Amino acid sequence: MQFQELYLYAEGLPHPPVGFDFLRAKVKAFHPSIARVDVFRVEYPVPNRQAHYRLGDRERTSPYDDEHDVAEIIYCHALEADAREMRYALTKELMHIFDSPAAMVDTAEKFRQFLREIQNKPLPADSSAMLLSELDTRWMAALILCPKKFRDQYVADYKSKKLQNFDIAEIFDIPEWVAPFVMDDYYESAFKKLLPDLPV
Amino acid sequence: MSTQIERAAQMLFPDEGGRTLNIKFFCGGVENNISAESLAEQVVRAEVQIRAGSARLVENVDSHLTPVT
Repeated sequence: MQFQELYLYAEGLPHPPVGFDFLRAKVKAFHPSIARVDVFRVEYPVPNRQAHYRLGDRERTSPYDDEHDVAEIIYCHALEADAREMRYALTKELMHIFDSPAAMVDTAEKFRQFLREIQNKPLPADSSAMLLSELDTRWMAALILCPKKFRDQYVADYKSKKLQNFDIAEIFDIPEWVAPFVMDDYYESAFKKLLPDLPV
Repeated sequence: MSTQIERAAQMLFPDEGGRTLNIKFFCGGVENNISAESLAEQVVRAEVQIRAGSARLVENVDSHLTPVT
């Protein structure tokens, strides 16, 4: 399954919002190597409203078993205070099922390097595919939660100030901070790069 | 290397048993000012809860949404 296939399911809905559970059901049904997407709620002593993604199989005992993998998205319970923030965070993490092989953090050595990269925020030229995938998924989540067919209906009113960030957040059920970059002209550029086979 | 980072690495990439094929963080693309140590601690605490069975499996994330048909 490619990102484009999942995006087209979202765009095929009769109207927004695009549900996280709708997306994960499509992944379960149509992704050839992912058996399911499990979502876990955990508690941290100091709530951080964070989430992370893990791909693997906890039950597998041999790397040679012919089993499908399980995608896990683990979130801090404090994210539940803002349902939109939580859905955007979980959707962004779900987009990592499309990570390229070079972007996979699949060894302890890569894991250590990746943590340092997130901490140090290297220059783009020095960033690994692992770190760059974090930026890609930020936009992939925005595109799939705000499919172009629906988003374009509101651009003129947004630019003329008839609609505010609040309104866009209401329509797509996204955090308000996502609305400005979804309604920005850069959306078109991100769309072309991440969905190159679809008409703009 | 910090203890938490090594502990997280050992939990995710054990010598035997279920290995991790990929791990990523929400904050990686959207937030500044986070340390490698705190990310590792996040992983360790989550892994402990999942393995102990105290993490809750969430079946319905969109319960607040208008159902989409």
